[in-house]
Amino acid sequence: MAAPTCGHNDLTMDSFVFAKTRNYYFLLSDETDSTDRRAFSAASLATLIGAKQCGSQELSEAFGPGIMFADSRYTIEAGDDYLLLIARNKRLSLFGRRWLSVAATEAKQRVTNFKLVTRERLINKLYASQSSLREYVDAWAEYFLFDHYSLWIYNKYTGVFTCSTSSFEQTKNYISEQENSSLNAVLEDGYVTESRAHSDGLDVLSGMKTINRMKLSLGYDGTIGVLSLYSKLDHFELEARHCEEIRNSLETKYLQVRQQAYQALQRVNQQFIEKYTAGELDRFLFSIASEVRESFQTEACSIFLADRQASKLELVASCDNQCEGEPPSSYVYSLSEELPTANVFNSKQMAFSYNLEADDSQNDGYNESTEHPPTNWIGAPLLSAGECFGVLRIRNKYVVEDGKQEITYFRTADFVNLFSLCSNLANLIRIEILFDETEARLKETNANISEMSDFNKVFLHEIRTPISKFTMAPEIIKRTLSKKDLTEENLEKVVKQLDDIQVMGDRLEFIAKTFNFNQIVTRRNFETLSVLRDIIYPVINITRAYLRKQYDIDIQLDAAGLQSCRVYGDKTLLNIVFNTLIDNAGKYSIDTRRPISVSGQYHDSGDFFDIVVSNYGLAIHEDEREKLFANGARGQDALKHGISGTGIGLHLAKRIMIESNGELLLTSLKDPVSFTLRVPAKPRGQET
Amino acid sequence: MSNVLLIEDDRFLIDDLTTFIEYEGHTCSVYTGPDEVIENLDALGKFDAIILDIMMTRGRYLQDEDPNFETGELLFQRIREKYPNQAMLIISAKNFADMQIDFTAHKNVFTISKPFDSTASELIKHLPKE
Repeated sequence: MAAPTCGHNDLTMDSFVFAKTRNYYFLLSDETDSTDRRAFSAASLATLIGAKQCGSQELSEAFGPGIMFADSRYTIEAGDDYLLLIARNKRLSLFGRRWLSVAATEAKQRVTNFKLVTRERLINKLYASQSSLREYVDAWAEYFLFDHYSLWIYNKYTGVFTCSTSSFEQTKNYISEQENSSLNAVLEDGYVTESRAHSDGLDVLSGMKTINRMKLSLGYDGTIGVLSLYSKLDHFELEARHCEEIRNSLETKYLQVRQQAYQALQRVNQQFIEKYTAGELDRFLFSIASEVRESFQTEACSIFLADRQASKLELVASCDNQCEGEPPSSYVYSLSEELPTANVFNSKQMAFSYNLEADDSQNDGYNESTEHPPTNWIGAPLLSAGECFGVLRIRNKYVVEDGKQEITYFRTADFVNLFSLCSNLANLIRIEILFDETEARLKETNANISEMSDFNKVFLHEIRTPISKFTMAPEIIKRTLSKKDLTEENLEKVVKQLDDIQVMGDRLEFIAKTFNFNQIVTRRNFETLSVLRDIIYPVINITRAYLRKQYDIDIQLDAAGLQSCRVYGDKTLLNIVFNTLIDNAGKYSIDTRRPISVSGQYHDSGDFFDIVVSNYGLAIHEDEREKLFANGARGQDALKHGISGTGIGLHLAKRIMIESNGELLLTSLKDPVSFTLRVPAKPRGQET
Repeated sequence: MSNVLLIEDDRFLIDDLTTFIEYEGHTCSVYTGPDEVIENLDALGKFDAIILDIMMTRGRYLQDEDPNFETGELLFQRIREKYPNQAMLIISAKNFADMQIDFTAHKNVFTISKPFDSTASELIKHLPKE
């Protein structure tokens, strides 16, 4: 409020000018044509005004001790909006009615000037570029000569009135609609305005005689506001048109304030888009926590995300006095706990407290470091498409008063804006999760494609020789048989071609089975198998002839330990694994001409059966042991000797064995190199 | 007709290819690995055409060579270095696009992918007639 100016008519010393406002006369000071708020009821002065002349004694009694009437008698001149008291001294005697007329004109002029000046002052304040809502209310209160004011805003989400601005110290800055307060009257239908004698009990308002209260409809959503204007004067009532003027002005101003807040939120939302990079959610949330803390003017903001099982909430970002986004330590809420943050997630509803000391006295859970003790709080669920991804919470809303941070209370706009922001944030988190899932699937698909591509390469390489054999052999046989002299040598040539076709046919069939990717990946037909009949012979019968011709290598089978032995597994898959070992043994026995040996025995109390495949070819280095079964791994010596391959075979064989509840082991590195195929001897659950 | 050298280690193919080559009236010698090639490098000039398989084991002499190169590629470089205009037919079960050497950039060099047709006609047609 503006400081009252000193007001007593010192310029002429013999006249007093009053401006009439509503039913009161306000004394104007001489120099500035302002008023010191010394007001006098029109009703109480009616008799004096009617008398037209009056002695100083009577005037002193009527106006009280604050005004000194030096002359003995005064003439009283009153108009619609002014009152003039002028001493009946020499000047008035000399110039008579003419002097009185001049004085009355001057008085009217001063009242008009007073009104113009106060109006101008009001306009200047209202249209100041950076005026706050408080300055706005202050300007109206001053203009209408009120002594105090307060503006409360009703939060429809919480059912609580919070004090937006006030000219006096409030003992409590929020009032619940459940409480016994005259504020609640504005919530009733039909309430528009009221003017009545003031009876509230606040000390600071103890001298107030009249309260003018009006309901405001603020913002686009019609948030309820309550403006109260207090006066020391009895029956100092605002006219309806003035109420309307104030209401229109404040509602417009509030729209501007909301618009600014909305723009600030839009900036935060814009930053969502600008700062968000798919795959970098953590860093993004750090910056969001910081932005929210600043934009909502709260002392802390934290973000918690739920795990996939929705069993816990993990702190992922926090901004307070101590940290700028990255949490100082890890913190996890169990979602089975009955704590406010967990409840927000479970209920998918916003929660709040205006009094954390009462509502959450235990103050369990994660506590941010704030300048003030925990006072108020909003927890908002991060909801997208009905799914809750986590909780964002803000604590201790503040305003800056005279450069000092003071705790204030959340407004409707905070809830609306936070809801909108959390919705956007949840959408981005959803995108991030989809991004992660897509990336994982893409990775898996790429791995599968890569694996299939490698498969295809090996497959194509493996089948090209048999195909060549099939395509060329008939022509060779035909040409040989069409020779006139069908010698024994020619016949042998034909038989040899037929043998080759058989070997290659068997091999091609086996390759086709081996490289049936879908079968390898999905097929599982577990049964009890004979080691010799179902696993070893089918492979050896096909491969032996091939190895003999291609590498001059034989297979030496130690059948003694293999007779009548049974294992449990998928025949085709075990054939693939065993063939891989035999095929590799053939390739790596380069130029040794020493046979590949196959033997077997039970292992581990009969729960497993070991089939051991050994060769005397290229050794495996100790440092290759670990990576030997990795996809695409090739041994140093294999590369050195130019032995073709892709490093898929052993990797695939190992996978098959693990998925078959068995194992594929490298049991000797050199002379011989031995691989052990450990096959379950019994179905799972029947082990000893 | 031509004097042809077949460098191939796949024993299932050697006889068949030799048969078709000889049916056309060419003479055909066979080296079954890189060792023979390197040991007889000086004698390769006598062949009118060399058929070279790409994927073979390294043998004794090429074990320390760049592993990114297939055995046939290494042999190609050595033969080409000594006989830049030698007619060569490169055969492979591996895609030529996956190799280190662009054979199409070399004069008098032909590439033939396995498998062959019933008479290995792609191979035979590129053999010099005289």
